[in-house]
Amino acid sequence: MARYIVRRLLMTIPTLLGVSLVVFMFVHLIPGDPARAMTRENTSPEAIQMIRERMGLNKPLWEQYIIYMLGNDTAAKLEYHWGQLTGHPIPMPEVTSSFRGVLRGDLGNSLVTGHSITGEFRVRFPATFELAVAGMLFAMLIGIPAGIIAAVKRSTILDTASMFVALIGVSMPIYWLGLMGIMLFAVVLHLVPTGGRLDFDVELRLLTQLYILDSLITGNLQALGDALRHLILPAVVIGTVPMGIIARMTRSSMLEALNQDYVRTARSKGLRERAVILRHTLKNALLPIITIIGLEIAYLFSGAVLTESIFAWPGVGRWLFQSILYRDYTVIQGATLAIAVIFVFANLIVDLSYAVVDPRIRYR
Amino acid sequence: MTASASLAPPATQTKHQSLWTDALRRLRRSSSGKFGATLILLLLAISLLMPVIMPYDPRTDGDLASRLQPPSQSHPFGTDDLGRDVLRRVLHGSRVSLGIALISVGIALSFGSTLGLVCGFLGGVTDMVAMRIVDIMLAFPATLLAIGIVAARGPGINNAMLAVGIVQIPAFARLARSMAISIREKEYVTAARCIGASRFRLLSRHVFPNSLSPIIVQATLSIASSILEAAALGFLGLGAQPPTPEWGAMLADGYKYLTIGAWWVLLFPGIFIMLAVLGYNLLGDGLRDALDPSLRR
Repeated sequence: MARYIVRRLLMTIPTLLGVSLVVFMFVHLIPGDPARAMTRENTSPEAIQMIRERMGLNKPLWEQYIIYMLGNDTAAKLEYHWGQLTGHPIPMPEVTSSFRGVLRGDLGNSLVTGHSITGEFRVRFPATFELAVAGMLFAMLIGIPAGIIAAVKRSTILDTASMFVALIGVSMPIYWLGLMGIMLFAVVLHLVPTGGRLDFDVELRLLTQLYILDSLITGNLQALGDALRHLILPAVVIGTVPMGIIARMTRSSMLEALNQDYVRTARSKGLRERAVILRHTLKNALLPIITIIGLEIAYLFSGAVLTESIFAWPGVGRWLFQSILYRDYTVIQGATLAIAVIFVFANLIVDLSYAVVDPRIRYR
Repeated sequence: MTASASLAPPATQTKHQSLWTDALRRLRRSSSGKFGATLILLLLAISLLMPVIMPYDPRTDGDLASRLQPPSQSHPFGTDDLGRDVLRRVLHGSRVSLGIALISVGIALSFGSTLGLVCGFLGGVTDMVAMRIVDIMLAFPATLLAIGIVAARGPGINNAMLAVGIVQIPAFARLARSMAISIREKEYVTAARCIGASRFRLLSRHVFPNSLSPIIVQATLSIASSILEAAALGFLGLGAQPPTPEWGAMLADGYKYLTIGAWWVLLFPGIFIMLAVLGYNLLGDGLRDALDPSLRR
């Protein structure tokens, strides 16, 4: 098992390097260049040149990438030692900014607010995480039972009905579902708030930034209720598409397992139907369901851009979208990189969980 | 002489048609496939006929005196914030929204499957390098990648199509590659190679036609997700720009009037997005069952 984990970890390194390269190149795909895109049309060429130099855009691309990955200080040392090695010694270059590089967890500062991107990410990520977990819980709690029932009661009205609901879920434009939900439950019925994570007049001492968890730890029931009221609609909205996909996958995977000999054996030795379905069929049908759940985690992060924007949810998705509107390129770069890295690790965890569920995979 | 000449063509024709006529027959029997196909044909008919029966110029449309009116007899879907008839815009929007989806799937289909077929057929370094690039593309959530591409290139309908197309390339590349890998080992390919068929001929006459059916299914399902992605970009203001009647952009317009309860501006474009996506998903499911009887349950 340890060998498998190590091998799988090593395999993520080239992917992560590729991801960092793509994210880095992103800024250079912008027609013209970011310095020009950031400024007004009548900005003087000298001013643009100054911004370019401040952002380090005048340096060759490979040098910019090294600085982006390793930080200014390491890049300067590298340049100095390279000069020594090749016999063209140069004085130690002056380090003008304290940028420490992506590899040391520094994503730079926002061009608009000047705040540290890593710091901002730490505050915003828990919000997205809380929303994604709640959405996934909703998707699994509805999707898996619906899929099991559809498979067990195959070709009945229950099967048709649950699969039709699942297909509607898969075909749902979630931004529209969110808007209609706000309209009905917040504007007309006043059951839930229109957005945000907590009402202004509710106080909560923050420990983990996960509001539900924080209110449970501090025993603050008022905050718990309020946080749940804010969470429920966005969670259902973001969980709708995964719910449909999980239900469909559970059904087809269960149908395949139900046809196997071991199910017939289990039945013929007189096990109760409940035990046949849950212990013998579901356990064997689990692998594709886990795969799809893992893939859907990624979907939840990209779905978060839309859901968070609609519900004014202060997470990574909304932050990213706002940075796109403000053309805050360093934030776009940093937040995209962080999400992609989380995505790669989510896939890694899925792969590792296969090995736990199915021992055969470990030995391949 | 005449007998052999008249016999030969029909023989090849029957053989050539059998897979597709067979699939069509099975598709007709599947209720989801039929329902999906009907929905799509309806929407396609609307998008093709609307410019003829009800010409529309979005630049001159609008009547501020009748803005944000609820559904009535003269405006069955109500009017929007500029007094434009929502029904008319939704119907004309089908051309824009379906057009974006079809073109972007066209981009993904042609680039993705060519790349996948060639890589799977040739193998080696080309394959490895291309597939690593595909892996890296798959490391970004699709909507995020599309938003990123449009953000870099600037908002607009063309960039939205390009972005949605690029995002879908990996799915086609992976699928076509796996088909090519399994087909290149088939006996009929070996046989063709033995009689001296060139690599290009092997690819275009043997590998490509035999990998078509899963690619067609994937394309149908991709149109569904493209409609969703394109409308999402439109909704975020990154796709079609006003006053173009695109469904996603119409939702963005209606968003502003959410709190005053103008539900009709939001309800109808959304329903059309959902119906179009549902149609392609149903047809895709039906086609998958029809083209691959072994998957049928």
